[in-house]
Amino acid sequence: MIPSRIRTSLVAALFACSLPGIASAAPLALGSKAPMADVKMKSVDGRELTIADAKGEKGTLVIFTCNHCPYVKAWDTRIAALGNEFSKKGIGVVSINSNDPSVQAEDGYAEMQERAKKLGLKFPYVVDATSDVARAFGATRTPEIFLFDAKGALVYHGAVDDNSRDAEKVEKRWLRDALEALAAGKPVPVAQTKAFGCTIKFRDAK
Amino acid sequence: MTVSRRHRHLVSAYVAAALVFLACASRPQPLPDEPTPPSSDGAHAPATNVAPAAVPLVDVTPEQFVAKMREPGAFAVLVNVWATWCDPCREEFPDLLRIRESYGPRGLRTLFLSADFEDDRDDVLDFLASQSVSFETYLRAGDDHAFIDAIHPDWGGTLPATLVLNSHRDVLLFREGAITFDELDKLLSMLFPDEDE
Repeated sequence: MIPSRIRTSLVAALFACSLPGIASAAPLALGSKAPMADVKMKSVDGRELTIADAKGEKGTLVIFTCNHCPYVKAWDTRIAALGNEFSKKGIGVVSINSNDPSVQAEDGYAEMQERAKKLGLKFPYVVDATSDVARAFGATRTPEIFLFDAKGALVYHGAVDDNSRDAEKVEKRWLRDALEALAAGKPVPVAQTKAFGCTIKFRDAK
Repeated sequence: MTVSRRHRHLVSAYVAAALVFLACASRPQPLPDEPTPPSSDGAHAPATNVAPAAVPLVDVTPEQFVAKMREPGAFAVLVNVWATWCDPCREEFPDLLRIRESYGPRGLRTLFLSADFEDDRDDVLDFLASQSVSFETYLRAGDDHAFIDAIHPDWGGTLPATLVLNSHRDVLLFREGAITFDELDKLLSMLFPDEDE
């Protein structure tokens, strides 16, 4: 009889192959270029925009977000402020909603327009209409941050800061530090961070 | 009567489990996470509403939670991280409770960890009460990052998240996103020794 430890590992291996996994690729490795950078996505102002269009001379900030997730709402004024500030400092910024509005009506286009207006976003908020851009990035949650340097290499991935609940109690301003570093042409101090967030509500893959 | 190889294997598994149980019983025990055994006539008692005040919700640091994951004595451990604000978490919760009912008596330790904020403790208690949870579950205390890293290195923090570990701490399943009763049942039924007919 197979020893139980080996049996459980075999079971796990077999099972892992047959399980429907999370619908993304593995998250983008540091140093990678933004995938699907030429995919057109509709912005809240009606224009079609690609990640390549949004590129800034000092770097590009890609934010996977949505309208409904409480973690997004907890950070959204901070994200808006950072995006607005650094889009004037040579960082291109684009916010992407990959969620399927049939799963969560609040993630629809009209709500995106309302939210962009309410937050005073000065950067595009676009619809990833097939959820494939999120898949290609390996994004799994909202909010999830991907920051690319001037050469288009990923230099920061993860969370906005270390305290979603209370902006006053933030101790580690990871995204701000990364943006400041890029704007000054310096290396990003902390490259990968984590935080809780809501699953991206992927549309079915074609 | 010859004892089949399969039965001998089962007997040694049960003896091993009994020895482990006895060894654990001699140490000071933490608060129990005892599954409710099915009633003797085979029918389950109807779930009665639990008052929020009666729900045992324990604050844990990352270290304390990992210690609970690693405590010896369980044949396997199921960890589910959820939050009241996470719709897929709430939707899958009944399935996870059914898994706990099915496999708890066979040695599955089930650990539910809420990633809600401490401020929302009442919402957590209300939800758990609505699910008739009268066993101990956990509310994270401490920052997101430390928890996420402690639970699984590949996990970015997406909720819900579900893990199954064996008694050697091998991760047999790591799911970022919703899971169903059927998927867990399939894995666990292969994992647990067959019950005697």
